[in-house]
Amino acid sequence: MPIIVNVDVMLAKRKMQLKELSEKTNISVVNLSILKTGKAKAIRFSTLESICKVLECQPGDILEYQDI
Amino acid sequence: MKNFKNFIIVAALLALIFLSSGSPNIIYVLASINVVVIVFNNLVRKSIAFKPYFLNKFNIFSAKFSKEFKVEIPATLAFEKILEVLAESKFKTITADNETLQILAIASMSWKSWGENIYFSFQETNGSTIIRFDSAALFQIATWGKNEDNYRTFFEQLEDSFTI
Repeated sequence: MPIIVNVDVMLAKRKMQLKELSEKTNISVVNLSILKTGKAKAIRFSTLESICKVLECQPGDILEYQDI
Repeated sequence: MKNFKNFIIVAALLALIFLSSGSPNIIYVLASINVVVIVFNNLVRKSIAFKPYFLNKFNIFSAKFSKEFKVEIPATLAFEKILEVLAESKFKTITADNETLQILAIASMSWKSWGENIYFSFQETNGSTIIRFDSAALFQIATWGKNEDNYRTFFEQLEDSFTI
């Protein structure tokens, strides 16, 4: 898929574990893992909002379009 | 109808018993056997060890439905995902063994059936997982589409859960 999810990159920048992000966003580790690996079918604005809020970043830092 | 052969077998068995017996007490005997089997099935339904019993093709008193589907995530993640979806569904998780990757859930009784046992098993191949769904009626030769409804309901919820 040409949409790349960079949650793991942002997590590394913020020195945060997936579990911690899960606790702060109330999104399960399973769902975050699925999102991180690009296996999610779609992402809700509310999910994007909570991730951006916790990681203090913009949606563009999380999602990236790569023309393959 | 998928369970038509079960009807034929049961009808043939009953006819054979009635013809060979000739005694009216045979009705009470058959009713007693039914009660014993229902009670036994109820007692063992929550044990995953009885999965082969409920899914055995010779167990004609337990209508079955099986389906396999593929998800593009590893088996351990798929296992957790199924548990998460089950928690939000109408089914009740009874056993979840993360070593053998087996799940047993139950569907409650409805006007169509006495309830069903739902089994999930997982097989990982090249990063994706084949999930096997088995739904077996507690004591019924036909579930009037309840087994298929269980699958449809669950699968729709699983599909929706991939929108995060």
